[in-house]
Amino acid sequence: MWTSLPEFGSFVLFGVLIAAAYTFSVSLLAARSKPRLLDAARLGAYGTSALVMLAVSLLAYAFVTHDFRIRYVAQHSDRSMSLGYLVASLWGGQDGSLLWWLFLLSGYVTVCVRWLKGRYRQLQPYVIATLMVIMAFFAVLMLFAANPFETHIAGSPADGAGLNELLRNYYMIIHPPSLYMGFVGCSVPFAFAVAALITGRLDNEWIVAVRKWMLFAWMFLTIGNALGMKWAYEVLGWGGYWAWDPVENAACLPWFTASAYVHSTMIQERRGMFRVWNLLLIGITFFLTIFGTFLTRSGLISSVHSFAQSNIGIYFVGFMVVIVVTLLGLLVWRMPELTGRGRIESLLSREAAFVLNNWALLGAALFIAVATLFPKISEYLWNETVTVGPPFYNRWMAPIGLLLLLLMGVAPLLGWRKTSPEALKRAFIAPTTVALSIFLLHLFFGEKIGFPGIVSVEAAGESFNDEVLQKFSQVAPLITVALVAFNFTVVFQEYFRGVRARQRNSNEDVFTALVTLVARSRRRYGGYLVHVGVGLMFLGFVGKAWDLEQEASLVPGQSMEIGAYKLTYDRSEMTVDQEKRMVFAHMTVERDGTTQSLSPAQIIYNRMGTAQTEVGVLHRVSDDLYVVVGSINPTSKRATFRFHVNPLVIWIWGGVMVMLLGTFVSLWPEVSWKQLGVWGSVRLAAGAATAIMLTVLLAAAPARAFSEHADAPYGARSR
Amino acid sequence: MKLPEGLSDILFARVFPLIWIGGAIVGGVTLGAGGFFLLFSGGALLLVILLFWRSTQSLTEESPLSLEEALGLAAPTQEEERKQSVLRILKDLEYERAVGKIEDADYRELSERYRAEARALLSNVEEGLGPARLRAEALLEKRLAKSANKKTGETTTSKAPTDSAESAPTASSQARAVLVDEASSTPETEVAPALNPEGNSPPKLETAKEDT
Repeated sequence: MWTSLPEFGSFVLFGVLIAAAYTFSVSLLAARSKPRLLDAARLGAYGTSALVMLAVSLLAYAFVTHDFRIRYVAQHSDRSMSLGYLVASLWGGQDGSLLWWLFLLSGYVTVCVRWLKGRYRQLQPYVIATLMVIMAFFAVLMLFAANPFETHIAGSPADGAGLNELLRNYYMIIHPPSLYMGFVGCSVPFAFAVAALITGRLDNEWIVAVRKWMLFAWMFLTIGNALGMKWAYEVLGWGGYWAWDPVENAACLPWFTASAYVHSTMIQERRGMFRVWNLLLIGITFFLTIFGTFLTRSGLISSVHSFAQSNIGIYFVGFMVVIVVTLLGLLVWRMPELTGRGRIESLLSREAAFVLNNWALLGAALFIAVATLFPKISEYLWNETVTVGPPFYNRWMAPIGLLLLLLMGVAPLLGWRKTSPEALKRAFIAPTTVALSIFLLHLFFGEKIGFPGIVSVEAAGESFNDEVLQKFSQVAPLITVALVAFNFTVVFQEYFRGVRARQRNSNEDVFTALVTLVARSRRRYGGYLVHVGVGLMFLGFVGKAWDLEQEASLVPGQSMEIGAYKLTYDRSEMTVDQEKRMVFAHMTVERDGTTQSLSPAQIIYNRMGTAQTEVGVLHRVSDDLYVVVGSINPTSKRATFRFHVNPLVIWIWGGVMVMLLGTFVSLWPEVSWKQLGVWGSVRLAAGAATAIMLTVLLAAAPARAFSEHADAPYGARSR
Repeated sequence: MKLPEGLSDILFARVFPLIWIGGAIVGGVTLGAGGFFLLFSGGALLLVILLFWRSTQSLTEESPLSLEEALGLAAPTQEEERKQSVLRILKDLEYERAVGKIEDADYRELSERYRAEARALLSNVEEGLGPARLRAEALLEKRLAKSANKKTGETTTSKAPTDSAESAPTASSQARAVLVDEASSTPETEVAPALNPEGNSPPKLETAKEDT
């Protein structure tokens, strides 16, 4: 057994391919002529998923037993690594992360097939068959291009190369699985869309079926992207959270299209319209998850996130072609049954607002996709090297983002089909009044509190576009804050009007009316909470307009000031463990009469030889003080620092939490306590407790994984 | 030897995972992380074998459908789906009126339009169910009569009346058996409306979700 573990692992991967093919065939047989075979197909799907679990377990075993015969284990771990990092190494490199992807997909398949029992009889076989095709693709990919069980040609080394130091961080441990959960989760809605197209059951059945699956995937896309931002902010040490890196962009593309879908699906549910559009959005979202993976792994573009270049790109291209051809072919085949249902009766209707919202979201995704690929397109077509940097994205995305913020506030105020002028006036008067008041207050008093409404921005060039964008960027903070106020008032008004209507009809007290209102219409009121979260995030984003940056070279005892902060460099300290040296610059920070300490650091890994920074951050509601130490002279102790004051950043993380809370409300199952039963209630409570614990953990967990001693258990602090 | 279906399900779904995960945790505690993953892998391998064994058995097995499986063969017709959609729209209209997003005149016009559509759909659905319902009732009566005759015969020859009373099918299980037989032997498209649990009772406007 021991000598054949790598071969056995490859054999299991081969088994996954065979099992997926078997389940695919049985599913199709069950769909076409023998419905009784569905049970065999369902068991086949479980078995295929169990095989993937076996493969992951074998690889984990190889990691914890340091089986360096396996090349992937030798490349991504070493004997000094703690158990936590050894397990995290499973997705630390290309081959393992593909297996991890397949593992998450198998989790979705298991839950989906279990959930499908007794439901959607006609769609079910095709859903299983489609999911099996996706599993088979990943099995083929690993078997022929990225096998995590491949052995070293030169024999087993004495020790491994270790996990990339940049990845030895709490956020990097949980960021990829979260993002993969979102990416992989889009497979289930896609499978339903394919099943609906094949069976011709194109009404609301499949839309209702995928509602929560898409929302669940969307939630993890949100978490994954937010954790990526947090990692960039806390670890990379460049002072920001989003650099428009190609891989970051690839990760946020499906988020935009999934957001468009969760809105546009409501039009189909209510009005039976946009059936082709919804199918396309599901298809595009799934396509973008594969496209994003292709960008990260093919070596097409260079990025801080990219995996090593490899030949797997061609496999992804082939799969993307299959997705496009299948989806378009099915759409063309079913087009006569999909068209000609309903029309938008008035521009002042919610469906019209949703259409605009969809175009804005899709426009944002398209803009980001084209800008991300533009350097490659330019190189290919004109043989010119073009760089598309963060300033370009920031300039163009600001108006698109604010348009989305405006539509987010307007849509809930409009009724379905049409809104009368009187109803429109009633709905808009409070939010508009509040937004205008905030606009004026911000304009006249913003500067006094350190957040001026109009800021100075340099033009990127001399063209008309550059001038327009410059003017817009100058007033963007003013518009953003007013629109956020507009959105918050809209949400408050919606809750208020709903509660008041319940009180009128049922004589309930405010609390009961509120709880009943949300409980009876979770998706609507959960969605409004998500809007509040997005508003908070926009407040965080606009903080960038007021940030401060300064560099200084200080000796111990010397002070400097930035914004309202006074910083004194007290001393330096070096600690050493078996894998790294850590040099800390201890500082005292004073603001408004309070004193705190901060210790940014430089970590020098023995194996890498190069220094990594560990950022020192003090979080406040109004701003973050962000300190990076560049170098510390071992003799004179003189240190070079870069200081940032980043206003309102904490509101971004707070906004993400509120978005998650809103998504939880929307996802909460619509069953009564009686239906749920005792065990169901216990399981639900346990699930909710786990979710809350995870959320708190995400919010409060330490980011300073670098400065932990290698011999300390994961999570223990070295100082 | 074949285990009773209920027992094998319990062993498979409850006991096996307990032994598997419990064994892996004990292995982890005693042998370290390697022991955990080794035992976990062993359990996973056993699970794979069991699942594919059952799957291939299902390919050839000729056992009758369970009620759940039979009901799973039912699928709402497009008219029923449209009916659900119209009911949801009506509920939504009520909400919009309650929170003042729609004028009374518009509400009356739209409400009347959708109520008329709902009535037409309900009527169509009922008409569509008629023949299937009659056939199901006839089959049920036939099955009950057949079962009653059989039971009479068994009672006269039985030496242990209590045992036979325990093992005799109840009226509801007989009714289920009829549906199951019907489902097993009838093409899916014909069975679907007859088995649709929603279709067997008149739909209520109040049951539509308020959810948007």
